[in-house]
Amino acid sequence: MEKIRKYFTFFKITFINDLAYVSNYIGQFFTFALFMFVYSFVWRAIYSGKTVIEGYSFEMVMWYFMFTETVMMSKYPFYSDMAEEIKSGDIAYSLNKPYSYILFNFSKYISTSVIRMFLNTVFGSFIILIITGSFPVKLSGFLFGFISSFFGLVLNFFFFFLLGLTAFWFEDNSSFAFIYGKFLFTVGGLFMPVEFFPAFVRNITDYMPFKYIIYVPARSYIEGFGTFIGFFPVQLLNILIYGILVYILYSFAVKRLNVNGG
Amino acid sequence: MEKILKVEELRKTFRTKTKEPGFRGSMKSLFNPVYKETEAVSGISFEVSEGEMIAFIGPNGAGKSTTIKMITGILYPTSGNVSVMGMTPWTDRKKLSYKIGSVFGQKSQMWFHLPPEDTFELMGDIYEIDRSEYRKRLSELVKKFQLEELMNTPVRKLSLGQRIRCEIAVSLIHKPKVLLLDEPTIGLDVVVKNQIRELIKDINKKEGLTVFLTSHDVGDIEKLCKRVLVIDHGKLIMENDVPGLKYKYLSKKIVSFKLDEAYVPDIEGVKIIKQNGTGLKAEIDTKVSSVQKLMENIMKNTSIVDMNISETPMEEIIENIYTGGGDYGKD
Repeated sequence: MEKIRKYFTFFKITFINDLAYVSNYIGQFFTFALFMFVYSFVWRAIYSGKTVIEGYSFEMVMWYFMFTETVMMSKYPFYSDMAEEIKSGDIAYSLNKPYSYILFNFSKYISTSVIRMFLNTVFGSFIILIITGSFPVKLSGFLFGFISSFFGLVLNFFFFFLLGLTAFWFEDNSSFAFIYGKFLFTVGGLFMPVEFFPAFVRNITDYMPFKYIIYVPARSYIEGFGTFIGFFPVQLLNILIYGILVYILYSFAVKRLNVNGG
Repeated sequence: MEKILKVEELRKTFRTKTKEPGFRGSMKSLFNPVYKETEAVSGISFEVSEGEMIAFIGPNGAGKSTTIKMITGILYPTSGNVSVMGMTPWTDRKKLSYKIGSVFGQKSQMWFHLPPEDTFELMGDIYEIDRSEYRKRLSELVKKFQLEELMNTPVRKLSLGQRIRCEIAVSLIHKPKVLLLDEPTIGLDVVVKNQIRELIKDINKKEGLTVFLTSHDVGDIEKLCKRVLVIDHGKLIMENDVPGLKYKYLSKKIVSFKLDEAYVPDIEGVKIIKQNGTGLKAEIDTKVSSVQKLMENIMKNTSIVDMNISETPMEEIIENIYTGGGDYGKD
């Protein structure tokens, strides 16, 4: 218990600290609302003359998009902090304390991301209700969508951590972050549900982790428990695989660490 | 006394990519990278006793931080050995971290938007201190560092001096055996500097804390440490006790006179620093000449109204050691 309490304290302190930044979220909400409006026109054009595409109505697609955006915008991009720490050599001062660097980052990341997700879900639902005027979402979906998003965030954590680790070898990791973002945008299902892809692409996405970060949580929001539990084992498997991978890579990286700064 | 830290033949080489300037250089380093081996630390050895306050100094880029990072286990050395309280830092890093505290004057471990108390609580949990134990230690430190009024103010509203007091206090929350101080008084005014030094001294005395100090501030070294290690180009170029540094390497005295009439002496081993009317300031190399010789020479020509003898300031001694000039570097 003693060994774990420190991570809860991290979680708690990040949470309190974030309250100092709450006004920052307001700016984010405007961007969020703008996205929703712009994309509603795009999707309305796509749906002209059709009521259902691949089982999704216009309203459902809009709600789907709102949930993917929610997950996307909630992920706290700590990899840039990590890169900064590695570049400046400050990482040295995180490493000489008795805690796990991975878990330390995880506590910070999950604390900030969960608050953001909560705020984004409330705000986004409100906006999308105004745009579409309909509510095709199961109420229980908010619970299971949230749980599924949480595990999506956990899976995403490993990729962010990986992005952070690239700073050990490369000066700048923003280009890798850009590529990762594009993966989420396409095969992750951010822009549209993976059902919209041709069959062969859809098959490939099953073997990629990205849709378990974006697509699966968003669908769980709309459809609730059945969808959540159906994907959950594979989502968990992904977490396990990438968790172990990141752990091994990190242990390797930290051994050949050349701390910057004299 | 028990040796708390032993460093033997410690060596660290970095492999860095060299890059020629300009676009061509960038392309070249991309396709045909050339690596250069730089030896940051080249075989240094020393020992520190328990409860000792020791200064570890050297010019920028001398290898100080690299050495400290190996001592705390953050860096793996290329070769050599370090033992801190019987542990090898890079294999027992976590175990060791429970017994080491560190303060880096240029970096903060406080949470910027939160009052210090939150950072204290977090550190208490990080070091897995029992709650009642933690409260006892906290009130002890709060009293000693006079933090009562600061504990509920967000760190961003504290002055630098107040913040550094918190930084040092928080680094002592787990009763470390060794405290690493890196430029603890940088940017502080004279009064606060002395206050901080007194506090460190006091903790050293009462808790038997071993202090390992790096600083460019000569005052820190003079007022806190009995022994000083000087490192340059990755080598230990001097190991001495601080008063010894002054006597042994200080063959020069500065003498200021106020004379009856203007006079400029000309003796071997005496350098005139300043001459302004009846005022005279000279540096005497006591290995060649002496204060007496200079005074005799002056008194033959005029009389002395007032005089003042001072040693070369510590600052200058260190500068001389770094630049390798004068006789200071040689034993």
